[in-house]
Amino acid sequence: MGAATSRIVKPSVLPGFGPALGYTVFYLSAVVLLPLAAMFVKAAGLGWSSFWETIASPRVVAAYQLTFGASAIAAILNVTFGFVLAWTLVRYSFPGKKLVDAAIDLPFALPTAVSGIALTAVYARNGWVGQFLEPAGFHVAYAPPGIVLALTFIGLPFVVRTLQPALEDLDFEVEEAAASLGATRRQTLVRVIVPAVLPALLTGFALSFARAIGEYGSVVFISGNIPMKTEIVPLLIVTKLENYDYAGATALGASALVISFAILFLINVTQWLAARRHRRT
Amino acid sequence: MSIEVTGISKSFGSFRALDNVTLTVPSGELVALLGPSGSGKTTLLRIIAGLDRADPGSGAILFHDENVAKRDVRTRHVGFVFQHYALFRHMTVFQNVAFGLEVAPRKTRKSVADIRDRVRELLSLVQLEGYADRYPNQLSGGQRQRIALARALAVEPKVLLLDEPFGALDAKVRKELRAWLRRLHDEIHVTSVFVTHDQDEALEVSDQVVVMNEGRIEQVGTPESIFHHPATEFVMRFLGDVNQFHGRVESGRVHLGDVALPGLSVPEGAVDTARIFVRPHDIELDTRRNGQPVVEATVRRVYSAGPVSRVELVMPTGQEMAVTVPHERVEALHLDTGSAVFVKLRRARVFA
Repeated sequence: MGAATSRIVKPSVLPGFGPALGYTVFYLSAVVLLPLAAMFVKAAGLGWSSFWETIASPRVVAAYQLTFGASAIAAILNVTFGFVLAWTLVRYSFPGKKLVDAAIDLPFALPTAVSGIALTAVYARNGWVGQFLEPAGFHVAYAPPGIVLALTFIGLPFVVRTLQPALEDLDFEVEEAAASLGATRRQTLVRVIVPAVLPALLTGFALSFARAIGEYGSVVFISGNIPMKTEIVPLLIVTKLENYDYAGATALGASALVISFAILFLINVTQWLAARRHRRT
Repeated sequence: MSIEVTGISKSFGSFRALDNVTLTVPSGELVALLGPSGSGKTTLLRIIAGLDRADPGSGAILFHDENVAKRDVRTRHVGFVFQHYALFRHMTVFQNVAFGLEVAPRKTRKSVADIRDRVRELLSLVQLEGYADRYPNQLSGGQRQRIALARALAVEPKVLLLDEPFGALDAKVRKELRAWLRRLHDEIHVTSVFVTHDQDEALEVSDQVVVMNEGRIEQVGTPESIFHHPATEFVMRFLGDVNQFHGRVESGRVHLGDVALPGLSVPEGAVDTARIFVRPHDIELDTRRNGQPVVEATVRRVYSAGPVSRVELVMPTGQEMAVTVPHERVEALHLDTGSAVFVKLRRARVFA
């Protein structure tokens, strides 16, 4: 008992490891694991061959490729530009900074359908921006770039909000030290700043990516939902549900969940490896 | 490589951090910038490094007769050591020390093998050979600062600048490290400037001490001359405990109470009054008058826990005085609360 528990239980000022762990397990089971288990059970009712048939149909595979591809691109864009935004907010002071800081959270608060409709209105053929892009041959609305745009929009706050504390934590003296050793600005960024906030960058990437995979509301308005071209997985699930094909819907859901979990697990391992260096061992 | 600073000023808004400062650091010396916080010492160091700019139009900074005021920190070839180490925490000790060598432009960059040799050499110089693969957070504060020093020295800087290098360390480590820094400097002889607010540190480590106050230099000199011949009241107060008395100037002599003090000349500008400064260890106590004109006082308390005894006195005028004497003296004179003593000022400074 003693040795085994003392390995798990870290001494804490606040007692109650038992109830706390119990509550954690119960809560996670009731809120997250139970519905997921129900989904897997339902999907299993389909039988292996029809399960495979459902998830391997060309239309579904195209949707998988689009969903994960667009989500990955959106997450990469968010990490890149979210870094710049977070950097600007942490390092500089300018008039209206508080307003910009508050505006970052808007995609969190806005109903996703509203953002989808707004983006479509701006980027459609007759929209403010679309009217210039369409004649030049850039199709945003009702095309994959529109999906990436919507996913970038909803994922941005995740990256900015995870990076901000990490950048605030970064001592300005570290940059001065790099400069005094002869490093250029680029070398300082690539070799000192980015590695120092890499765990936060990866967390932001994972959150933005995960959020994008599940996103439905904003995408369906701008994507145009053209089979084989601009259908995302959540849309196919909703379509199946509307046709009372519950087993098919859970099959799609279960497979998407497994893939997402595998990818997030990989990101977490990478992040753990990056974070391990910062900790005392 | 000598450093010459001429007529440098720096303002932050309406606050004047440096006011027309001129200073020469001879080649190969270890110089301390000593002063209280807000005296401008760190600002001066950062301007020498190129981390901050002096006010436009104010003076020059010469490294060996070459004006570097317009160059930024990257091209000034200074080694800078920060109070809080500023180590790259995601890099090992080896990578930290090698950083300056690895970011050098391709044409001047050393080979991988040469970099490795140089880092080894530096780690042995700072006596941390076995620590190459550790991360900074696995080291103690003193070890981190030695790594920061090795990192700064790796690029063979022309001058080494240290900003309160021991300020974040505990008292014992600080004492060890400052003695070590002095020995290291005797070994490598790179022109060095370090900032400190600790007078013991400045007096013990440096060849020259620059005492700063409110953005100006109060006095420059060897530790001995600064300590024994303080030029201003500020320097006198800053370099250790001191008693201050209100004296009178009468017929060309300085008086404390009714006693004319021997051997003290009246300072310039003193008309009726003068302030007399005496360090606690420059005061002699006796229970007999001994014929000389001496000041009388009463012992208020004796503190004997410490390397010397500290005796608190009250003069008939109500002024207080702190004196340090050897324990043996206290015992020989049977000093205790209420004892009447005669005080002789062995060495005093008078300012107007």
